[in-house]
Amino acid sequence: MTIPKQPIFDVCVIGSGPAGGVLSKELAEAGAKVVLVEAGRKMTAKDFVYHTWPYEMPLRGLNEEGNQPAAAFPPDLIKAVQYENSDQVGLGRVRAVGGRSIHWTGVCLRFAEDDFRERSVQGVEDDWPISYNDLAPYYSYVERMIGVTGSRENLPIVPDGEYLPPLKFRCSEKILKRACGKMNIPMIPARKALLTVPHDNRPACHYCGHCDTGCDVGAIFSVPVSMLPKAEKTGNFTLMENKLAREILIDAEGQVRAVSVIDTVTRREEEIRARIFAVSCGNAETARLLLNSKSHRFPNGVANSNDIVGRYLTGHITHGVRGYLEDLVGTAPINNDGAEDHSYIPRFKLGARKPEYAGGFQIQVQHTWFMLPYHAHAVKGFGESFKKQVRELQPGYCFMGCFGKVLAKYENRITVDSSQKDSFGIPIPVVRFRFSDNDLALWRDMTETSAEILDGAKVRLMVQGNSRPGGFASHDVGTVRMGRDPKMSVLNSFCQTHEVKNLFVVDGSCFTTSPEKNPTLTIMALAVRTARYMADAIRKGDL
Amino acid sequence: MGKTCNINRRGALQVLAGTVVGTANFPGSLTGATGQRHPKFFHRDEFEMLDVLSEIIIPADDHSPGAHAAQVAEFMDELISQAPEKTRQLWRQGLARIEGMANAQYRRRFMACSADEQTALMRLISQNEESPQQLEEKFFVGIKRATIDGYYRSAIGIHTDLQYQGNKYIRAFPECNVSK
Repeated sequence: MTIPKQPIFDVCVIGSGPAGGVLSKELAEAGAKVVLVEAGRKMTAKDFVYHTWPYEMPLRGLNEEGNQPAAAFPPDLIKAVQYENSDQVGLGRVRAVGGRSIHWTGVCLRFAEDDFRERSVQGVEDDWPISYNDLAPYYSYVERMIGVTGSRENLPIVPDGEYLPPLKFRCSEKILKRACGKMNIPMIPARKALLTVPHDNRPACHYCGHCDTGCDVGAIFSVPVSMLPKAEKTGNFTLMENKLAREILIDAEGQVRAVSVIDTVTRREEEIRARIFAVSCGNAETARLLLNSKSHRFPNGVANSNDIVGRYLTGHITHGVRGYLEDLVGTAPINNDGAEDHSYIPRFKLGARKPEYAGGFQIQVQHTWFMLPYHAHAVKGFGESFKKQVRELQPGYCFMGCFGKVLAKYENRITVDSSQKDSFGIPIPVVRFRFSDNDLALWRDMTETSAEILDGAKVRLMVQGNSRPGGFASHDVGTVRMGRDPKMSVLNSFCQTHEVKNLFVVDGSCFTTSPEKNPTLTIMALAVRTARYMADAIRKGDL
Repeated sequence: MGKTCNINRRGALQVLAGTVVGTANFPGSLTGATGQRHPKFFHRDEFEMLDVLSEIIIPADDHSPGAHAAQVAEFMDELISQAPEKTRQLWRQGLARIEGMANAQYRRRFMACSADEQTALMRLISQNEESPQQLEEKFFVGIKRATIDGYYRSAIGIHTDLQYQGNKYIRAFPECNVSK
């Protein structure tokens, strides 16, 4: 087989999600020659089901309510994972140009100062090698760049950022806020990468309520709409689609010389060469690539002499509860769609009321569809009275999605098993994960407290989600952690591997710990910080 | 999203709504012309029973048409035709059981029973909804679930019955003005 001759790029970024997309754009703008390698392809309008009615879809959309474009979740990917001795968790993986940014609700929360200092503050896990102040300017930069709706609230647990006008509360949210107020729990406008006014040549939201179906006008931030055109404009940027990274190749000096990729269409293998490599494949796939990159020098996988790659897998423990608010039951139907969640309950139970467990939980309010009567399955009986009850309950719908902290534990890990391969012959990730006693105590409190809040808001009917805890809500992180101690971490604070100078890992896998907050804004802020560091090093000739 | 071990926030919803069937895309639309088409899985007489049973679960009333008008039986036929063999047989056996009950109770085929008799049979099989034990009780839970999914995802369910106002472009989101 002949290997096509490729130019040598300054930086090869593997994975085009929020991390790889932002990193590539920033580097290209800084003058670096960037190649962005993505295992999936570009999605087109045909791949999405924007604004489609269930009855226009096969089986009335019964199987479409995840609303992800099917092309971004090929069977190769879905099947290529194994869970062994694990609790009910799932890794969030997607294969498309733009990664997870092509369909998400857009939640953008800054981590709090204490979220970087779990060991110092709560005596659990480890401190990050960076502080909030190190990241604050990059949070601001990203917020201004992508457009984030929100409001300034002066709550230390969710530091304020730079916001577009906030979303307006629905009636259900006003009622819930009153109930929260009585319990001294703050409830604030949602903070999301969603435009409430036009921004950066993108239009404002049209409130169709189908955000994570994918936004047809680009009012929610996505890499393909917001980042790639800017990267392309520099003339420094090359996108390679349908290239699945198999292995990172090491030279005699122990530096990365190339990444070996398989073209998923032609099935041909090739090498892409660059001076610097950044792995941004998303937590699980990033760990998988590193672990699959075995060499004489790195028999356990590249940058993994200390056996830390794949460990400390964490994410969110979740719970959902639906209430049907007495005040709204039986009222005339109105258009509640909006932009999914308009409001947010930050972590509470702080200070004197601190619970027994470490960490906390947050609640996203109303981030589901308003079209379907989810409660119909919980209303007993049949016939005219059943139908009438379903109809009358519907306007009272109020959903609370709870996300809790999961402690990062050494024994919770992803490995690869060379006896189990995907359809391209690449060993698949194997997950071993158990929630800790702390996680479960938090989950019980989260379950009880969310019901208590809904009780306070007065509900006609309450429908609890799963009776068992689940994870990770597509928020899995931590498998290639950064840290000060090279024995206990893989990366330094600039996402650079301790062992291989020209290898970086820029995505959620670099998190030392995970608070209850959604990870994406922090991932993008770290990507910008790393891009600056790389560009500087390139300029100085250090890399 | 994988259907096993993958409880993200959407997954949790699906489990709650009991709608996880599979992840594949299904060819063909159910919303086209009906009537002359043969059911895919059920026999014609089974299909007609499903039509009547679904209408008893969600009947037409003075507010909106019911499951029959929303072609829920066709939805169920499509759904079950794609289900695992075990599920398919349960549905078939469930219908046979109801036929047997109609015979034992009223000495008539189910379809020959009066509307009151059919409703009485439905009441019988619905009694143990929260922890169904008998085949007919499990069948009730299954057909009710499928009727809900089919009806509230139809144009009649969404627009006429629930009068859902959304899924449209609007310029500004209206502030809530309920003073209660």
